Amino acid sequence: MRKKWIVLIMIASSLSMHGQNAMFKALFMFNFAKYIEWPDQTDQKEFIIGVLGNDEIVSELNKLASARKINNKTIVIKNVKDVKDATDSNIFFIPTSKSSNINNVKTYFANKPTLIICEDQDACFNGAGINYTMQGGKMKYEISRQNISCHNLNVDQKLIALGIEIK
Amino acid sequence: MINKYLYALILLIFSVSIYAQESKKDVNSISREEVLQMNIEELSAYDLEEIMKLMDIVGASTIEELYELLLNKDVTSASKSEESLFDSSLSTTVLSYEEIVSNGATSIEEALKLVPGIIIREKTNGNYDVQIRGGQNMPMNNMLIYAENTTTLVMIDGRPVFNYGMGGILWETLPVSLGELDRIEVVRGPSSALYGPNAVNGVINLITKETKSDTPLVSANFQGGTLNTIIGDVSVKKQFSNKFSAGVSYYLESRNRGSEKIYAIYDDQYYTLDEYNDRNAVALWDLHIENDVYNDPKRGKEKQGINAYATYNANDDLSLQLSTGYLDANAITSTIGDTPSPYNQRISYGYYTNLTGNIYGFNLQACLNNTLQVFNKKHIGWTQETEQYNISLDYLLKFNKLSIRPGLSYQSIYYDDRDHIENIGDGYFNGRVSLKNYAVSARFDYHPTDKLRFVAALRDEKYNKPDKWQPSFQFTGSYKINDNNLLRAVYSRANQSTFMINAFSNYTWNLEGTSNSVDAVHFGGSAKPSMMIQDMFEIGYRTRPAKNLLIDIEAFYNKSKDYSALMPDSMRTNVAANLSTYTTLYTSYRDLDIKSEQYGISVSADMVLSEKLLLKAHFTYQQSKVTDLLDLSRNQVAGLQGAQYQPALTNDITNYYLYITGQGPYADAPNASYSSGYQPGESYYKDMDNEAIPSFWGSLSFTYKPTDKLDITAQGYYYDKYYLYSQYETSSNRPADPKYTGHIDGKFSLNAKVNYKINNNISVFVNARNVLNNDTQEYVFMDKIGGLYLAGFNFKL
Repeated sequence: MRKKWIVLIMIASSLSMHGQNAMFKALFMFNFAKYIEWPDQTDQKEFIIGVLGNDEIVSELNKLASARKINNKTIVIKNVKDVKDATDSNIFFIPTSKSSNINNVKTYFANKPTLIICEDQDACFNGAGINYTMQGGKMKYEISRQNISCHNLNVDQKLIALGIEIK
Repeated sequence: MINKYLYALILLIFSVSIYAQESKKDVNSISREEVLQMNIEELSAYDLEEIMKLMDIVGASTIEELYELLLNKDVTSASKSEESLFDSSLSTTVLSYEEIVSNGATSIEEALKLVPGIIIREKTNGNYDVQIRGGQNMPMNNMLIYAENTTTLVMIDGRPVFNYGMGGILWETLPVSLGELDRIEVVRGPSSALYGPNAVNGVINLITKETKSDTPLVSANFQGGTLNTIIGDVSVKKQFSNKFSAGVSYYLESRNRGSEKIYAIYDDQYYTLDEYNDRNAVALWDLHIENDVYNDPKRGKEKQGINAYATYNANDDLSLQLSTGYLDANAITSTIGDTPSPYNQRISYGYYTNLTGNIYGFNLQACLNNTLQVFNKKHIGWTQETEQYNISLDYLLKFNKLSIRPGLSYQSIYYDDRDHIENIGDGYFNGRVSLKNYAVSARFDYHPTDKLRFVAALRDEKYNKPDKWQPSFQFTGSYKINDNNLLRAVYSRANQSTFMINAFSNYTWNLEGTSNSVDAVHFGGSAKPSMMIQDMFEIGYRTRPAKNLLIDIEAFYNKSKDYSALMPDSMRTNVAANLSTYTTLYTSYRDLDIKSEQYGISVSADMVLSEKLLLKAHFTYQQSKVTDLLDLSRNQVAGLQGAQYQPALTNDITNYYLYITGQGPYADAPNASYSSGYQPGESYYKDMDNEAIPSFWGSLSFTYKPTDKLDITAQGYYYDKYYLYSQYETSSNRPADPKYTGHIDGKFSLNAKVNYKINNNISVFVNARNVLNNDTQEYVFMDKIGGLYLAGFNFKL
C-alpha cells in the first residue's frame, strides 16, 4: 500500500498544470508592448520577445506570434538558456524559476531599449519594469516607470494606471 | 444558376465566418462560457483593460485561486494570530469547508480523515474513535475507557468542549454541524502553553462561518440514505449593516447501526437485546441494571440542535461575537465502564453560550456550557448535571521584531448527580463536585531576521485538584530558507488536567447475586491525583517544490509520564454471624510509574495538478512503547489480593462450621473481616510495545472536475492492524479461544462522492462511504462497519 501511494504521488508530481494562466500572461505581455513608446528601430523588422528558460508562456507566445504583429513587426519568440542569446530583445521575460537571474539580465540590458518583465516578489525593486503578481487570487502587475525609462523607453500613463505602480 | 447560388452561399458563409472571427463581443455582456470558448488569437483582439475585465468574468486565475485556497491557507490556532500556514512553526493543518464538502465526509470526525496524523476508526454508524498520533490505551490491561483519547483538546470557535467527567471528547455532544463550519484547524503536538490542559497530543479548533455581505441568506444541506441515515442543516444568516449581522441554524443527524445486536464479552457472542437479557438471566453477569438499557438498540446516533449567532463590529477597536445554542444528542457507542457488554448509550442535552471579542486590543473569550449528561444509561448514578465556565483575556503587544501576548484564563467545572439518585450513595459522585484552574501565560514571538523566527510560549496553571501549579511550555524555532522552504523545530510540554472521576469517584457498583467473585466494587477518587505530562521534540520541513505542490514532513518523539488509573487498593471480606460473606473490592485512582515513548513521522502532500484535478495525501508511521507496565489486569490484581487471605478465611469458616455443627473439635469463630492490600512486586512489571494505534495509516484523495458543474472525489483510507489490549483479554470468564479480541485487522475503505451543480443555488450529489462495503470491525468489540450510501443536495439563496 505504501509503495502504491508513493508511486501515485510521483506520477501526480510529474504532470504539468493547466496553462490558462500562462495564456493571460502572454496576452498581458502582448498588450504591454502597445503602451510602450519604442525607439525608432526601422532596421529591425522583428519584434523580439526573449524568455529565459523553459516556461509554458513560450507556447502561448508562439500562438500569438503566428497570428499578430506588434508595431507592424513580426513577433519572434526567443526561448533562451542564457540572456546573451537574446541580444536584441524588445521584451525579456524572466519566469519565477529563473528569478535569481534578475541582476545578470538587468546588467546585460543596461541602457538597451528592453522591457524586463518578471514574476517574483519585489522584482520591481530589483530592476524589473513590470512584474506579474497575484493579489486575492487574481493576476495583476506591478509597474515601475523609473525602471522602464532607464532603458530609454517611454510608458503610457494608462499602463501605469491599470497596474500597481511601484515607486 | 445553381452554381451562382452556391457560390453566393459559400461567399456569405465565409464572410460571416470572417466577421465572427474579427468581431469583438462586448466585454460588458459576454458570458463566462463565451470567454472560455475563445482562443488566444481571438482574445488578442481585446486591449489590456478589456482583457482584465475578461479575466474577472472567467476567473482567469482559477488555478491561482486554487493555489491560494488549497496551498496558501492561513491559520489562527497555531499562534492565536492569523498567519500563513506555510510559516507556522508548529505541525498545523487547515481543512477548509470546501474540501470537506468535496470529500463527502458525513461528520466532523470523518472529515478529520483528511488531516495528517489523525486516525479515525468507526465504532458504530456515526460514532468514532479519533486520535492524534496516538499514545492511548494507557495503561493497557484496564477498562476500555483508557483507550479513549483524553489528550486532545477540541474547541468550537476557541471554546473548549472537552469532557471533564472522565476525559476525552464526546463527539456526538458537539453543538455544531458540518454545514456551519468555515474550516477545521488542527495543531499536532503539546499545546497546553497556548490552550491549557489536555491539549497534549494536539488541538482541534472547529471554526464556524462568519456572516458577511456575500453570505447566502438561506443555506441548506441534506443527505439521506442507507441505515436510515439522515443528515441535514439549514441556516438563515444576514448582514444587516457593516456593524451588525445575525443568523440562526438548525441541524439534525440520525443514523441506524448496521446491526441491532450487542456484544456480550463473557460469551464472546453478538446477541439481540432479548437474547442478551435471556443469557444474562442465566449467567448472572449484571443484575442491577436499568430495564430500559437502550432507547432503541438499532439507533446508532441521534442529534439535533439549534444555534444562534450575532456579530457586532462597532469599529476597528471594538467587535463582539456571540453564539448560543441548544443540543439534544444520544449515541450507542463503546462503554466507559466495566460492564458485560461494551455497548453503551450516552444521552446529552443542554445549552451553551460563547462570547468572543476584540476590545481595544484585548481578546476576550467568555463561555458557559450547561448540559445534562447521561454517561451510561444502563446504571443509576451516571447521570450528571454539568456546568462549565471559561474566561480568558489576552493582549498582543507588538514591537519591532518582537510580539508578546500575555494572557489570563480561568475555568471552573461542576458536576452534580444529586437530583438523579434516590439516595446519597447511589450516585457516582454523590454530590456537587468541582474542578477549577486558572493560569497566567505569555507568548513571545521574535523575528531577529526575515528568515529566522523563535517562539516561546509559557503558561503556569494553578489547579484545585491537585492543589498545585503546573507549568507548560512550547519553544519553537523556524528558518525560512526561502519563500518555498521552511525548516522548524519544536520542544514542548503539556499536561492533562484532573478529571472528575480521578478526583471525586465515590461509587459502589453492586454485584451482589451475580456470577462475579465479589459482591461490590468501590470506586474511589484520589485526594492528589497525578496529571499526565508529555514532553515532545519535533522537527519539520515544509516545502513548495513547485507552486502547485505543498509537502509537509514532521518527525516527532514524545515521552509521557505521571499516569494514573483505577486500580485495586484492597479487598475485604466481611463475615456475618450466619457465616455468610460479603466481599468488596476497593479501587481508587492510583498513581502509576508507567511511562510511554513514541516516535513517528507524518508526511502530507497537497497538489493542484490542474484546475480540474486536485490531490490530497498523507500518511503517518509511528511506534509506541511503554515501560514499567504492570502486566496484570485489575481483576488479576484483585485475585492476588483475595488469595492473600482466602485460604485462612475458608479454613476459619470451615473449622468453625464443623465445630458448631458437632462435626469437629473446638475452633474460634472467624474474624468479622479479612482483608489484603497486597500490591504486585517488581517481577510483575515489564516493558512492551503499545500497539493500540496502528503503526501506519494514511489517506489519498483525488478531486476531479471535468466541467464547472461536475465534481468527483474519491478517497482511499487505510490503517494497519492494531492490538488494543484491555483487561478482557485475560478474563477467565471468557472462552479459552475467543473469536473477538483486541486484535483488529488493517482496513482499506474507499469513499466517493459525485456532485452536480445544477445552478448557482443548488447542487445535487450521491455519496458513498466505504463504497466497496469492506464489512469489518474498525474498533475493538464494536460494530462491523460496512458501506453507507447517500444522496442529497446543497442549497443556497
